[in-house]
Amino acid sequence: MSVDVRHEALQTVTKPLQVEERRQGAPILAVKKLRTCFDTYRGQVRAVDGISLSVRPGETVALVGESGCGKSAAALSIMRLVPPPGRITGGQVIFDGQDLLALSRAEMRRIRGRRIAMVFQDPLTALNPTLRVGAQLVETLATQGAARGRAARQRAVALLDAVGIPAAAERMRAYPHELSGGMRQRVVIAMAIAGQPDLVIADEPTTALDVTLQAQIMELLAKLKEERGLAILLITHDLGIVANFADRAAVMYAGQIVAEGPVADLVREPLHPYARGLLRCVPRLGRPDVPIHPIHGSVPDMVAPPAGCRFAPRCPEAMPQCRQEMPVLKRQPPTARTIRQNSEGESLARGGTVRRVRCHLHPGEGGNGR
Amino acid sequence: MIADGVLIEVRDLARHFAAGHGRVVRAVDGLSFDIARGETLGLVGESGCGKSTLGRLIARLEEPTRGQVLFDGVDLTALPPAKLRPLRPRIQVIFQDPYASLNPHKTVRQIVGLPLRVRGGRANGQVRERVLELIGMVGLDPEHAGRFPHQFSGGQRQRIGIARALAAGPELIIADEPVASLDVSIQAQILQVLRELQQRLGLTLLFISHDLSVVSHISHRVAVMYLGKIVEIGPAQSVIQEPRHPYTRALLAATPRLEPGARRSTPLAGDVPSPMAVPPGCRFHTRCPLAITEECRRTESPLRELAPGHRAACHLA
Ligand SMILES: Nc1ncnc2c1ncn2[C@@H]1O[C@H](COP(=O)(O)OP(=O)(O)OP(=O)(O)O)[C@@H](O)[C@H]1O
Ligand SMILES: Nc1ncnc2c1ncn2[C@@H]1O[C@H](COP(=O)(O)OP(=O)(O)OP(=O)(O)O)[C@@H](O)[C@H]1O
Ligand code: SF4
Ligand code: SF4
Ligand SMILES: [Mg+2]
Ligand SMILES: [Mg+2]
Repeated sequence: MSVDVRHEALQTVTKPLQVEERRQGAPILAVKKLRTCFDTYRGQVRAVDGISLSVRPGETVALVGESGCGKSAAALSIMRLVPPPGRITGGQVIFDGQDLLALSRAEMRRIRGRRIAMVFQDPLTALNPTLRVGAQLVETLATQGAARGRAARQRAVALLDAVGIPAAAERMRAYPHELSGGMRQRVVIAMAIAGQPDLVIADEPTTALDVTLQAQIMELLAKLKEERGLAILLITHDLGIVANFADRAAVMYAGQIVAEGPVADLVREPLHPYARGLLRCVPRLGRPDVPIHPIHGSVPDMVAPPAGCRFAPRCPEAMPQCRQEMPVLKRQPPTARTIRQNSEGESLARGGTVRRVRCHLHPGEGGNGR
Repeated sequence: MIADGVLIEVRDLARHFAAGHGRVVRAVDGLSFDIARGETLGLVGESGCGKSTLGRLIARLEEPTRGQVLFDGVDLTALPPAKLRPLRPRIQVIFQDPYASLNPHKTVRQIVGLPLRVRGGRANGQVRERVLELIGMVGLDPEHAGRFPHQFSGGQRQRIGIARALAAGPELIIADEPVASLDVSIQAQILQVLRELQQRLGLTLLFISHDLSVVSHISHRVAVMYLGKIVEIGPAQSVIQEPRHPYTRALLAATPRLEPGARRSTPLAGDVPSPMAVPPGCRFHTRCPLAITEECRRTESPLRELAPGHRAACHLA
């Protein structure tokens, strides 16, 4: 199929918006001091321990960190889908001006799928193995009140087309197992955007895929973001993906956000020792001269996190103060590099200029602890 | 450091699987290459292209449909089981899922000690000493020796797997996606351990991964596989910096880089064809972004040397 036809198909399933206008505007999602814990026999696992972050329309914000840092727990909390024994114990999830945590279950159900959609790592969990993909899409459209009957079928084909499934009309009849992993993930994304959501939360959407399919899926998400002003919260542990596809990134460690800001700042000038450590773990393609350095030790047990800075036991720059006093997430003053970059106008386009860091090495500018 | 001499010679090696209804999966479809002694050869390619099958064929865990694997000049494929057995410890495999390959009822001491006892020639005290030495080499503590696999993290289990492989005294280690399921920080630890051991012990390493960044980091040479065949092979830097095959270029373009905003050109379209229906002519022609010629549809290009030690199988390269 030609690019033009696909582009048209995309237009028919998206709402026209002033993308640029919305990107500059208020966040569609603002998470404030969110806390979620799991009550286990060993004690309380503080999986999400007071995180704050926001996503604007037309913006991709990445949430990164090692396994067990609380990324998925944060995403599930936003959707109010935390499984027992987990529960949300505090904070706010402001979506389009209303606190999702204050909504009734019925109201929340109307938000899910229609206004916020979720894409998981394993597409099979999101698809019914016994139903043809076309039927699943039609059903999704019907339950969301978007379309019925013939109109729904046409919309479904347009959606499959929009996510780049060749011969979409024929693929409507395929069962999930008859599709490749990449095609299945496209179907899941088609279902996610069927209700024209404002926000998509994608939890490791490409981790199970080959690089070529990964690139296709990430390009698709980027296109939806750019063309229809979708807001994306992208959870991944792949810093290359973050660098290539996110506008801003929040680095999570042991349930907390320890660094947050424009992706260019994170990659070119990571201020937080944990962010620096993560970047130094990644082998650079075609740069055998750049050695990799593992971070020693492992993520702490969140039943009894270390006192003071949670990263202190693994931090090569830890000071005595770090083991006693928990640092606060503070807004950072511009550096020589960010000033130069901003004068070139680059970061205004991608992720703004504000960066926050939780580290005693960077006391920052005054109180903004968020 | 790469010592002289060839350790592994693979000659027109193929493994086809029967898939019912008379169909045949051409998992490994006739390929030839060498691995030098003391060298790390990285093997990349998309899921299902035959990397693991090739690794298993070289380790002689799989019967070839045709072709030979010469290990130190000896044709492994022609050896009867009795003659093969003494060679087995010299080739060790490390798997992606370390947990599945470790006996849950044995302690680390027993797991790592077993290959030593099988090899024989060591008193009990010497075995115990060597076990501690080995687990130290892979960065575990002596106090870990008495623990069971479930008491370890994924990265630590992979270290146990490496220690067990080393205990057999191998010359060749085949590492099949050894870091694929691990966090970046743990991945970096394991890569460092493997690289150090390879250099210190002069091991020969076949490192299988779908991640070109990881492969390029650890390998002296890189081989790129597509649908059962090697389409490009050469010195790592040469393959990464000056890829000759359109498929290698596509893989490189799709690999995320730590450069903000570095968005690649259009990603490779479509899926890999089924290994049950390998396209005729050049097997990449159904996805090739180059202006393919009549010849591409008709004949398959052999691997041709295009730069010193750098070969690619493309009519237009
Ligand atoms: N159902 C549960 N019961 C108890 N603890 C849980 C449960 N789910 C998650 N946790 C704990 O919450 C913490 C955060 O887990 P979470 O799944 O959010 O991590 P993550 O950052 O998404 O990791 P990954 O990269 O492995 O997906 C971990 O310590 C985890 O063990
Ligand atoms: N025992 C078998 N019987 C039938 N087909 C098989 C068998 N083993 C492998 N195959 C097929 O051979 C092809 C190559 O498989 P292989 O596992 O070698 O690929 P791979 O490159 O290691 O893939 P991955 O990256 O997913 O591990 C696949 O199509 C696979 O389904
Ligand atoms: S507060 Fe101290 S221990 Fe924590 S990251 Fe900063 S320097 Fe390291
Ligand atoms: S031989 Fe032809 S089809 Fe095959 S990779 Fe080269 S140009 Fe493409
Ligand atoms: Mg997760
Ligand atoms: Mg494999």
